[in-house]
Amino acid sequence: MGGMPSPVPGQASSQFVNRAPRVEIVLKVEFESVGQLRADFLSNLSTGGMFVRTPVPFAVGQAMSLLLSLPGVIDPPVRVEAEVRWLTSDQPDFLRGVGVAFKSLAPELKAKLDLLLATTVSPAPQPSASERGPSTVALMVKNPILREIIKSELERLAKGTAQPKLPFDLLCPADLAQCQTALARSPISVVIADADGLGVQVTTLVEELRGWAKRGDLPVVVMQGAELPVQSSTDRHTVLLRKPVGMKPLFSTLVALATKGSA
Amino acid sequence: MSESSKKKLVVLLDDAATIRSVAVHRLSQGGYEAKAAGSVDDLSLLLTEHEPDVVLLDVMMPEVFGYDLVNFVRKMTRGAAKIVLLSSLEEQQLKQHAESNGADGWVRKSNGLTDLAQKLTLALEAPAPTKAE
Repeated sequence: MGGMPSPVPGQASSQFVNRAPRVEIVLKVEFESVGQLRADFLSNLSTGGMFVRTPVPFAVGQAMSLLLSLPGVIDPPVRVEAEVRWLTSDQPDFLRGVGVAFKSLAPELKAKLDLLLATTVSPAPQPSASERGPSTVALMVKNPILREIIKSELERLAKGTAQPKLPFDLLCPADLAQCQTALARSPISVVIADADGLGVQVTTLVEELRGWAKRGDLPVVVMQGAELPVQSSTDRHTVLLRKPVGMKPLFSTLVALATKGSA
Repeated sequence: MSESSKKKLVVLLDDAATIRSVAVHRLSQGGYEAKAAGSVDDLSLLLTEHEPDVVLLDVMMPEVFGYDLVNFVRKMTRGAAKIVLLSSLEEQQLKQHAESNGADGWVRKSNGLTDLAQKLTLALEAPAPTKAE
Protein backbone atom coordinates (compact mmCIF):
# COMPACT_ATOMS: atom_id res chain seq x y z
CA MET A 1 0.00 0.00 0.00
CA GLY A 2 1.10 3.52 -0.74
CA GLY A 3 2.48 5.05 2.42
CA MET A 4 3.14 1.95 4.44
CA PRO A 5 6.80 0.98 4.61
CA SER A 6 7.73 -2.50 5.69
CA PRO A 7 9.05 -3.05 9.19
CA VAL A 8 12.77 -3.48 9.51
CA PRO A 9 13.55 -7.15 10.15
CA GLY A 10 15.13 -7.74 13.51
CA GLN A 11 14.11 -4.38 14.86
CA ALA A 12 10.91 -5.49 16.46
CA SER A 13 10.97 -6.92 19.95
CA SER A 14 7.92 -9.02 19.26
CA GLN A 15 5.98 -10.03 16.22
CA PHE A 16 3.33 -7.40 15.61
CA VAL A 17 0.62 -9.04 13.60
CA ASN A 18 -2.43 -6.86 13.62
CA ARG A 19 -5.10 -8.52 11.55
CA ALA A 20 -7.85 -6.03 12.33
CA PRO A 21 -9.41 -4.33 9.28
CA ARG A 22 -7.20 -1.47 8.26
CA VAL A 23 -7.25 1.42 5.87
CA GLU A 24 -4.79 3.95 4.58
CA ILE A 25 -5.99 7.28 5.79
CA VAL A 26 -4.38 10.48 6.91
CA LEU A 27 -5.15 11.66 10.40
CA LYS A 28 -3.27 14.28 12.30
CA VAL A 29 -1.32 12.94 15.24
CA GLU A 30 0.60 14.95 17.82
CA PHE A 31 3.06 13.48 20.25
CA GLU A 32 5.88 14.48 22.57
CA SER A 33 9.43 13.72 21.56
CA VAL A 34 12.48 14.85 23.46
CA GLY A 35 10.38 17.54 25.10
CA GLN A 36 9.06 18.88 21.80
CA LEU A 37 5.57 18.70 20.43
CA ARG A 38 5.61 16.97 17.05
CA ALA A 39 2.81 16.89 14.55
CA ASP A 40 2.69 14.29 11.85
CA PHE A 41 0.35 11.98 10.09
CA LEU A 42 -0.55 8.38 10.39
CA SER A 43 -1.71 5.85 7.91
CA ASN A 44 -2.62 2.20 7.75
CA LEU A 45 -5.02 2.62 10.58
CA SER A 46 -6.86 -0.14 12.40
CA THR A 47 -8.45 -0.39 15.79
CA GLY A 48 -5.37 -2.32 16.95
CA GLY A 49 -2.69 0.13 15.94
CA MET A 50 -1.30 2.25 13.16
CA PHE A 51 1.74 3.55 11.36
CA VAL A 52 3.00 7.00 12.40
CA ARG A 53 5.09 8.70 9.75
CA THR A 54 7.88 10.51 11.53
CA PRO A 55 11.64 10.94 11.13
CA VAL A 56 11.97 11.14 14.94
CA PRO A 57 13.95 8.18 16.28
CA PHE A 58 11.98 5.95 18.62
CA ALA A 59 12.85 2.64 20.24
CA VAL A 60 10.85 -0.56 20.13
CA GLY A 61 8.87 -0.78 23.37
CA GLN A 62 8.85 2.98 23.89
CA ALA A 63 5.56 4.42 25.08
CA MET A 64 3.88 7.09 22.96
CA SER A 65 1.03 9.33 23.96
CA LEU A 66 -0.79 10.31 20.79
CA LEU A 67 -3.36 12.97 20.12
CA LEU A 68 -5.44 11.94 17.10
CA SER A 69 -7.66 14.23 15.08
CA LEU A 70 -9.54 14.30 11.80
CA PRO A 71 -11.77 17.27 11.10
CA GLY A 72 -15.39 16.49 11.81
CA VAL A 73 -14.71 12.81 12.48
CA ILE A 74 -12.35 12.61 15.44
CA ASP A 75 -13.16 16.09 16.54
CA PRO A 76 -12.29 17.24 19.16
CA PRO A 77 -8.96 15.38 19.21
CA VAL A 78 -8.69 12.24 21.32
CA ARG A 79 -5.66 11.08 23.28
CA VAL A 80 -4.61 7.45 23.04
CA GLU A 81 -1.73 5.61 24.69
CA ALA A 82 0.36 3.37 22.47
CA GLU A 83 3.60 1.40 22.35
CA VAL A 84 6.16 1.26 19.55
CA ARG A 85 6.28 -2.24 18.04
CA TRP A 86 8.42 -1.81 14.94
CA LEU A 87 10.54 0.76 13.12
CA THR A 88 11.36 1.73 9.56
CA SER A 89 14.58 3.54 10.35
CA ASP A 90 16.29 2.59 7.08
CA GLN A 91 13.79 4.50 4.95
CA PRO A 92 14.10 7.95 3.38
CA ASP A 93 13.00 10.62 5.87
CA PHE A 94 9.54 11.02 4.48
CA LEU A 95 8.80 7.30 4.71
CA ARG A 96 10.41 6.79 8.09
CA GLY A 97 8.17 5.96 10.97
CA VAL A 98 7.01 3.59 13.64
CA GLY A 99 4.36 0.94 13.90
CA VAL A 100 2.50 1.32 17.16
CA ALA A 101 -0.05 -0.78 18.99
CA PHE A 102 -2.76 0.91 20.97
CA LYS A 103 -2.57 -0.05 24.65
CA SER A 104 -6.24 0.58 25.15
CA LEU A 105 -8.96 2.38 23.30
CA ALA A 106 -11.75 4.28 24.95
CA PRO A 107 -15.07 2.85 23.73
CA GLU A 108 -15.98 6.21 22.18
CA LEU A 109 -12.77 6.34 20.13
CA LYS A 110 -13.10 2.69 19.14
CA ALA A 111 -16.61 3.41 17.87
CA LYS A 112 -15.29 6.36 15.83
CA LEU A 113 -12.47 4.29 14.36
CA ASP A 114 -14.89 1.46 13.54
CA LEU A 115 -17.11 3.94 11.72
CA LEU A 116 -14.12 5.44 9.93
CA LEU A 117 -12.91 2.02 8.81
CA ALA A 118 -16.37 0.94 7.72
CA THR A 119 -16.88 4.16 5.78
CA THR A 120 -13.54 4.14 4.00
CA VAL A 121 -13.06 0.41 3.41
CA SER A 122 -16.58 -0.07 2.14
CA PRO A 123 -18.41 3.20 1.70
CA ALA A 124 -22.00 3.07 2.79
CA PRO A 125 -24.66 3.55 0.10
CA GLN A 126 -25.32 7.21 -0.39
CA PRO A 127 -28.64 8.67 0.67
CA SER A 128 -30.84 9.63 -2.26
CA ALA A 129 -30.64 13.17 -3.57
CA SER A 130 -33.98 13.91 -1.97
CA GLU A 131 -32.61 12.87 1.41
CA ARG A 132 -29.34 14.71 1.15
CA GLY A 133 -27.60 16.56 -1.64
CA PRO A 134 -24.27 15.05 -2.72
CA SER A 135 -21.14 16.30 -1.02
CA THR A 136 -18.85 18.36 -3.19
CA VAL A 137 -15.08 18.33 -2.99
CA ALA A 138 -13.08 21.09 -4.65
CA LEU A 139 -9.70 19.99 -5.98
CA MET A 140 -7.62 23.15 -6.35
CA VAL A 141 -4.41 22.17 -8.12
CA LYS A 142 -2.84 24.74 -10.41
CA ASN A 143 -0.84 22.33 -12.55
CA PRO A 144 -3.36 20.96 -15.08
CA ILE A 145 -1.54 17.67 -15.58
CA LEU A 146 -1.29 16.98 -11.86
CA ARG A 147 -4.91 18.02 -11.45
CA GLU A 148 -5.99 15.52 -14.09
CA ILE A 149 -3.82 12.77 -12.62
CA ILE A 150 -5.26 13.27 -9.12
CA LYS A 151 -8.82 13.45 -10.45
CA SER A 152 -8.51 10.30 -12.53
CA GLU A 153 -6.74 8.40 -9.73
CA LEU A 154 -9.51 9.30 -7.27
CA GLU A 155 -12.11 8.12 -9.79
CA ARG A 156 -10.15 4.94 -10.46
CA LEU A 157 -9.81 4.15 -6.76
CA ALA A 158 -13.54 4.66 -6.31
CA LYS A 159 -14.15 1.91 -8.89
CA GLY A 160 -12.53 -0.57 -6.51
CA THR A 161 -15.03 0.13 -3.74
CA ALA A 162 -18.49 -1.23 -3.03
CA GLN A 163 -20.03 1.74 -4.78
CA PRO A 164 -18.02 2.15 -7.98
CA LYS A 165 -18.17 5.91 -8.27
CA LEU A 166 -16.91 8.76 -6.22
CA PRO A 167 -19.15 9.28 -3.19
CA PHE A 168 -18.91 13.02 -3.79
CA ASP A 169 -18.99 15.45 -6.68
CA LEU A 170 -15.56 16.68 -7.67
CA LEU A 171 -15.04 20.26 -8.81
CA CYS A 172 -11.68 21.13 -10.30
CA PRO A 173 -11.06 24.88 -10.24
CA ALA A 174 -7.90 25.79 -12.13
CA ASP A 175 -6.86 28.68 -9.92
CA LEU A 176 -7.77 30.67 -6.84
CA ALA A 177 -10.20 32.89 -8.75
CA GLN A 178 -12.19 29.87 -9.99
CA CYS A 179 -12.00 28.36 -6.54
CA GLN A 180 -13.41 31.55 -5.02
CA THR A 181 -16.33 31.46 -7.45
CA ALA A 182 -17.02 27.78 -6.73
CA LEU A 183 -16.94 28.31 -2.98
CA ALA A 184 -19.23 31.31 -3.20
CA ARG A 185 -21.78 29.53 -5.42
CA SER A 186 -21.95 25.97 -4.08
CA PRO A 187 -21.83 24.32 -0.67
CA ILE A 188 -18.40 22.69 -0.78
CA SER A 189 -17.76 19.99 1.83
CA VAL A 190 -13.98 19.76 1.54
CA VAL A 191 -11.26 21.65 -0.33
CA ILE A 192 -8.03 19.98 -1.38
CA ALA A 193 -5.51 22.69 -2.18
CA ASP A 194 -2.04 22.39 -3.62
CA ALA A 195 -0.30 25.21 -1.77
CA ASP A 196 2.81 25.21 -3.95
CA GLY A 197 3.11 27.88 -6.56
CA LEU A 198 0.22 29.96 -5.26
CA GLY A 199 2.44 32.58 -3.67
CA VAL A 200 0.55 32.66 -0.38
CA GLN A 201 1.23 31.22 3.04
CA VAL A 202 -0.74 28.13 4.00
CA THR A 203 -2.50 29.90 6.87
CA THR A 204 -3.52 32.75 4.55
CA LEU A 205 -4.72 30.30 1.93
CA VAL A 206 -6.86 28.42 4.44
CA GLU A 207 -8.32 31.66 5.82
CA GLU A 208 -9.16 32.84 2.31
CA LEU A 209 -10.85 29.57 1.37
CA ARG A 210 -12.95 29.60 4.54
CA GLY A 211 -13.80 33.25 4.03
CA TRP A 212 -15.01 32.60 0.48
CA ALA A 213 -17.08 29.66 1.69
CA LYS A 214 -18.35 31.72 4.65
CA ARG A 215 -17.60 28.69 6.75
CA GLY A 216 -14.98 28.86 9.48
CA ASP A 217 -14.89 25.10 9.96
CA LEU A 218 -14.54 24.16 6.28
CA PRO A 219 -12.22 21.11 6.15
CA VAL A 220 -9.19 21.94 4.03
CA VAL A 221 -6.63 19.38 2.93
CA VAL A 222 -3.44 21.22 2.03
CA MET A 223 -0.75 19.56 -0.05
CA GLN A 224 2.62 21.14 0.50
CA GLY A 225 6.10 20.40 -0.75
CA ALA A 226 8.16 22.04 1.95
CA GLU A 227 8.85 20.54 5.37
CA LEU A 228 5.64 20.83 7.34
CA PRO A 229 5.57 23.18 10.28
CA VAL A 230 4.05 22.00 13.52
CA GLN A 231 0.46 22.99 13.17
CA SER A 232 -1.42 24.77 15.87
CA SER A 233 -3.70 22.32 17.60
CA THR A 234 -6.40 24.97 17.68
CA ASP A 235 -7.12 24.45 13.98
CA ARG A 236 -8.80 21.08 13.90
CA HIS A 237 -10.16 21.49 10.40
CA THR A 238 -6.97 21.55 8.38
CA VAL A 239 -5.08 18.47 7.25
CA LEU A 240 -1.58 19.23 6.01
CA LEU A 241 -0.09 16.65 3.67
CA ARG A 242 3.56 16.54 2.80
CA LYS A 243 4.27 15.79 -0.84
CA PRO A 244 4.50 13.36 -2.43
CA VAL A 245 0.92 12.60 -1.52
CA GLY A 246 -0.17 9.00 -2.02
CA MET A 247 -3.44 8.72 -3.88
CA LYS A 248 -4.80 5.87 -1.75
CA PRO A 249 -4.51 7.70 1.60
CA LEU A 250 -5.80 10.88 -0.05
CA PHE A 251 -8.82 8.98 -1.37
CA SER A 252 -9.60 7.40 2.01
CA THR A 253 -9.22 10.72 3.78
CA LEU A 254 -11.54 12.50 1.36
CA VAL A 255 -14.14 9.76 1.60
CA ALA A 256 -14.06 10.02 5.39
CA LEU A 257 -14.32 13.81 5.33
CA ALA A 258 -16.89 14.11 2.57
CA THR A 259 -19.20 11.31 3.67
CA LYS A 260 -19.19 11.95 7.40
CA GLY A 261 -22.72 11.99 8.66
CA SER A 262 -23.99 9.86 5.82
CA ALA A 263 -22.80 6.51 7.19
CA MET B 1 15.63 -1.36 -40.86
CA SER B 2 18.62 0.39 -39.39
CA GLU B 3 20.33 -0.78 -36.21
CA SER B 4 19.23 2.26 -34.24
CA SER B 5 15.58 1.86 -35.16
CA LYS B 6 15.59 -1.61 -33.58
CA LYS B 7 16.54 -0.21 -30.21
CA LYS B 8 13.80 -0.08 -27.64
CA LEU B 9 12.96 3.44 -26.55
CA VAL B 10 12.94 3.98 -22.81
CA VAL B 11 11.47 7.14 -21.33
CA LEU B 12 12.72 7.72 -17.80
CA LEU B 13 11.10 9.95 -15.18
CA ASP B 14 13.37 11.04 -12.34
CA ASP B 15 13.58 14.40 -10.58
CA ALA B 16 17.33 14.06 -9.91
CA ALA B 17 19.38 15.44 -12.80
CA THR B 18 22.38 13.27 -11.94
CA ILE B 19 20.31 10.10 -11.94
CA ARG B 20 18.75 11.10 -15.26
CA SER B 21 22.13 11.69 -16.81
CA VAL B 22 23.68 8.47 -15.48
CA ALA B 23 20.62 6.38 -16.30
CA VAL B 24 20.42 7.62 -19.90
CA HIS B 25 24.11 6.83 -20.30
CA ARG B 26 23.78 3.34 -18.79
CA LEU B 27 20.70 2.52 -20.83
CA SER B 28 22.36 3.71 -24.02
CA GLN B 29 25.41 1.58 -23.23
CA GLY B 30 23.09 -1.36 -22.65
CA GLY B 31 21.48 -1.15 -26.07
CA TYR B 32 18.46 1.01 -25.37
CA GLU B 33 17.57 4.42 -26.71
CA ALA B 34 16.78 6.59 -23.72
CA LYS B 35 15.13 9.92 -23.09
CA ALA B 36 14.61 11.48 -19.68
CA ALA B 37 12.06 13.73 -18.04
CA GLY B 38 12.54 15.56 -14.76
CA SER B 39 8.91 16.30 -14.00
CA VAL B 40 5.43 15.06 -14.75
CA ASP B 41 5.01 17.95 -17.19
CA ASP B 42 8.16 16.94 -19.07
CA LEU B 43 7.04 13.31 -19.05
CA SER B 44 3.69 14.26 -20.53
CA LEU B 45 5.45 16.16 -23.30
CA LEU B 46 7.79 13.25 -24.08
CA LEU B 47 4.90 10.79 -24.18
CA THR B 48 3.08 13.08 -26.59
CA GLU B 49 6.07 13.35 -28.89
CA HIS B 50 7.33 9.76 -28.75
CA GLU B 51 6.02 6.22 -28.59
CA PRO B 52 8.22 4.56 -26.01
CA ASP B 53 8.48 0.83 -25.53
CA VAL B 54 9.19 1.27 -21.84
CA VAL B 55 8.47 4.00 -19.31
CA LEU B 56 10.67 3.88 -16.23
CA LEU B 57 9.10 5.74 -13.30
CA ASP B 58 11.07 6.89 -10.28
CA VAL B 59 8.92 6.24 -7.21
CA MET B 60 10.09 9.16 -5.07
CA MET B 61 8.95 12.14 -7.11
CA PRO B 62 8.33 15.49 -5.43
CA GLU B 63 4.67 15.91 -6.35
CA VAL B 64 3.24 12.39 -6.53
CA PHE B 65 4.61 8.90 -6.10
CA GLY B 66 5.75 7.31 -9.35
CA TYR B 67 3.44 4.36 -8.78
CA ASP B 68 0.46 6.71 -8.78
CA LEU B 69 1.42 7.66 -12.35
CA VAL B 70 1.06 4.16 -13.78
CA ASN B 71 -2.49 4.66 -15.01
CA PHE B 72 -1.72 8.10 -16.37
CA VAL B 73 1.17 6.66 -18.39
CA ARG B 74 -0.96 3.73 -19.47
CA LYS B 75 -3.52 6.17 -20.88
CA MET B 76 -0.92 8.43 -22.49
CA THR B 77 0.76 5.49 -24.24
CA ARG B 78 -2.58 3.79 -25.03
CA GLY B 79 -1.28 0.70 -23.30
CA ALA B 80 1.58 0.26 -25.75
CA ALA B 81 4.44 0.79 -23.31
CA LYS B 82 5.66 -1.41 -20.49
CA ILE B 83 5.72 0.50 -17.24
CA VAL B 84 8.49 -0.22 -14.76
CA LEU B 85 9.03 1.34 -11.32
CA LEU B 86 12.51 2.52 -10.37
CA SER B 87 13.51 3.11 -6.77
CA SER B 88 15.96 2.40 -3.99
CA LEU B 89 13.12 1.06 -1.86
CA GLU B 90 13.37 -2.50 -0.59
CA GLU B 91 12.60 -5.22 -3.15
CA GLN B 92 9.46 -6.35 -1.34
CA GLN B 93 8.05 -2.84 -1.14
CA LEU B 94 8.73 -2.18 -4.80
CA LYS B 95 7.08 -5.45 -5.75
CA GLN B 96 4.06 -4.53 -3.66
CA HIS B 97 3.78 -1.08 -5.27
CA ALA B 98 4.12 -2.60 -8.74
CA GLU B 99 1.47 -5.21 -8.00
CA SER B 100 -1.07 -2.91 -6.42
CA ASN B 101 -0.75 -0.24 -9.10
CA GLY B 102 -0.59 -2.42 -12.18
CA ALA B 103 3.01 -1.75 -13.23
CA ASP B 104 4.73 -4.30 -15.45
CA GLY B 105 7.82 -4.58 -13.29
CA TRP B 106 10.31 -2.89 -11.03
CA VAL B 107 14.03 -2.16 -10.91
CA ARG B 108 16.00 -1.29 -7.80
CA LYS B 109 18.51 1.54 -7.96
CA SER B 110 21.84 0.22 -6.77
CA ASN B 111 25.56 0.20 -7.53
CA GLY B 112 25.46 3.59 -9.23
CA LEU B 113 23.05 2.19 -11.82
CA THR B 114 25.93 0.30 -13.47
CA ASP B 115 23.67 -2.63 -14.32
CA LEU B 116 20.49 -0.65 -15.01
CA ALA B 117 20.11 -1.88 -18.59
CA GLN B 118 20.56 -5.53 -17.60
CA LYS B 119 18.13 -5.18 -14.72
CA LEU B 120 15.59 -3.52 -16.97
CA THR B 121 15.90 -6.31 -19.52
CA LEU B 122 15.38 -8.88 -16.78
CA ALA B 123 12.38 -6.98 -15.42
CA LEU B 124 10.82 -6.86 -18.88
CA GLU B 125 11.36 -10.58 -19.40
CA ALA B 126 9.90 -11.51 -16.02
CA PRO B 127 6.19 -12.33 -15.72
CA ALA B 128 4.11 -9.25 -14.96
CA PRO B 129 3.29 -8.81 -11.28
CA THR B 130 -0.09 -10.08 -10.24
CA LYS B 131 -2.57 -7.32 -9.69
CA ALA B 132 -3.34 -7.06 -5.99
CA GLU B 133 -5.59 -4.47 -4.37
